[in-house]
Amino acid sequence: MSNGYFILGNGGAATHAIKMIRSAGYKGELHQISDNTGPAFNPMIAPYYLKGITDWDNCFPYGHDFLKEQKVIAHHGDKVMSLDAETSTITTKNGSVFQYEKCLIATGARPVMPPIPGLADSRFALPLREPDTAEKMAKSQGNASKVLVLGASFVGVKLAEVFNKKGISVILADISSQVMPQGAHKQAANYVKQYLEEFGIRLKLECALNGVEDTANGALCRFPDGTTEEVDFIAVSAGIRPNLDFLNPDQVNIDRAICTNQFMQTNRTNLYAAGDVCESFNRLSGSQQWMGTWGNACYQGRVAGLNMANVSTRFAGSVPQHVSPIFSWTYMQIGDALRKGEKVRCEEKGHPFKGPYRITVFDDDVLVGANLINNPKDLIWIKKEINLGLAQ
Amino acid sequence: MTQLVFSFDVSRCSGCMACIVACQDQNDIISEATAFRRVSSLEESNETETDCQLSFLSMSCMHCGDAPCVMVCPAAAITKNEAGVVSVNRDLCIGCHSCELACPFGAPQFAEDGKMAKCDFCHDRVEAGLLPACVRVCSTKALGFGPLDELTENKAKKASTKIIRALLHKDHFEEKN
Repeated sequence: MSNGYFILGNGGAATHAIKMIRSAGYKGELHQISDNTGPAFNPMIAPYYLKGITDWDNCFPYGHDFLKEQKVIAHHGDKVMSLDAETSTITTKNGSVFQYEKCLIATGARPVMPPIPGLADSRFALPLREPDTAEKMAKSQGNASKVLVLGASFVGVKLAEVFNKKGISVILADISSQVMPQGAHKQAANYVKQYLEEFGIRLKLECALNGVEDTANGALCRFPDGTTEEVDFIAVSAGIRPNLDFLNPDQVNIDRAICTNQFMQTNRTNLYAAGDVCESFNRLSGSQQWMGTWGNACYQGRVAGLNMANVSTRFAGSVPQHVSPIFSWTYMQIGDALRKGEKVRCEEKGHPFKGPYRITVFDDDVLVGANLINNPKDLIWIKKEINLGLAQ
Repeated sequence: MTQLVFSFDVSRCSGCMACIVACQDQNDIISEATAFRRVSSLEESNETETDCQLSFLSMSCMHCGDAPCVMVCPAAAITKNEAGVVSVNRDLCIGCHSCELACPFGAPQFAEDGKMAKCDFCHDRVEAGLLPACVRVCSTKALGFGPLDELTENKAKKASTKIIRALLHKDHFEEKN
């Protein structure tokens, strides 16, 4: 048994919470439990590492000494198996039982493995999230000549670019009818699709893989039209899911992720959540929503840390946004470009193959979302105008 | 140490753009598109349009107190030092453009190598006891530089009001460079 503050997880939210807890003056025991064995890893950097833009060490942006400097007692290589919010106790895989004074759940998210026959058991189906999976993918891409990227998410599109630049033949498949279905307007998504095809990337949209079988050197992928493709490996990029299996839903309110208030508190006393494991305030919709981005996680961790250290601070919420360089294009989305309704209309300006492009989406004449390609100039007023709409 | 800042007197700026040229020269920036400093014009008129006012705004990185670019950078490549200077370690930058999405002022620029570059208050010049290049060449003394606590409240209010108006009204906001 041990008392003190506990941080579950080892990512951006956890790191910023630790920084704030210490900088606000908390001098007591500060524990961290994580199944990772090293410093905080940022999965967002992993595609850039695979691309050769940055070194392996730089995937750990807070360095190796951070926890030591912050006097954190690290329980690494262990995993939280259960958290009892009634008794404030944590039980780990190694059999340790801890009692917390205050606890932050910042366990992040894990990749979704689509329920395709043979996929989960395939030795050649590689997700990309943790240091070991990044290393495995880096090793696999070195000898690959053909790869299936399963899921045209932002990560999937980025991986398709990375492999293409390595000279690997790439098939990018998604069950959706467009690339980046989480936030790209279909018109902007169509331009991105055309752009990817210009580089020779083969897109298979509205395509649910029928099955996967391992062969001696790779995976045989069966498509619904009866065709097959043998690939060296399958890069699984079909989204992520919050890591919250250790929680009792009768004790902690969970919707799609852990529900929090503006102080990043759960419904339980002294239990907080931040990052990809929780929902937070979407300023555009006015509701709690799961918005897994690195920046959000860091801000939420900061707020949670301050509140744990008794410095009352609110998370102001955020507007969904994303940016991704794709070959020499820069794609950005802000707000809700997928809004539907009778009063919804959109306006397009420019053409991404000729210059800056934007598509703006209005609901009842209020700007609610936009996609921009190679257009940083419009970003400034679009962000301001969306915020202005929120204020009205 | 106090936060270092640029000061800007809207009533003095003539829109000559010498600040941009000096910045480009100091930082070896060839393309105007990726210049660290921008000059914009802002036209404002009253309701009956009988009175029109034209003003110019020279803007670069604001070295924000709680800089969002520092917070969102996934590679921890952007830092803020004790003097409040926000700077980027280009060796760590992965060119993800997260800073560009987070910045309210459009300060981060991306050179041909795909990595971010931005104003650092002409660090080398300031270290040598000189003014930043843009301030040095400002003939009307619209641009100034120094510790935040030496900036008058009135001057700051005038400049920030104008900047906010310019950012909000895209139709009245035209970049000169």
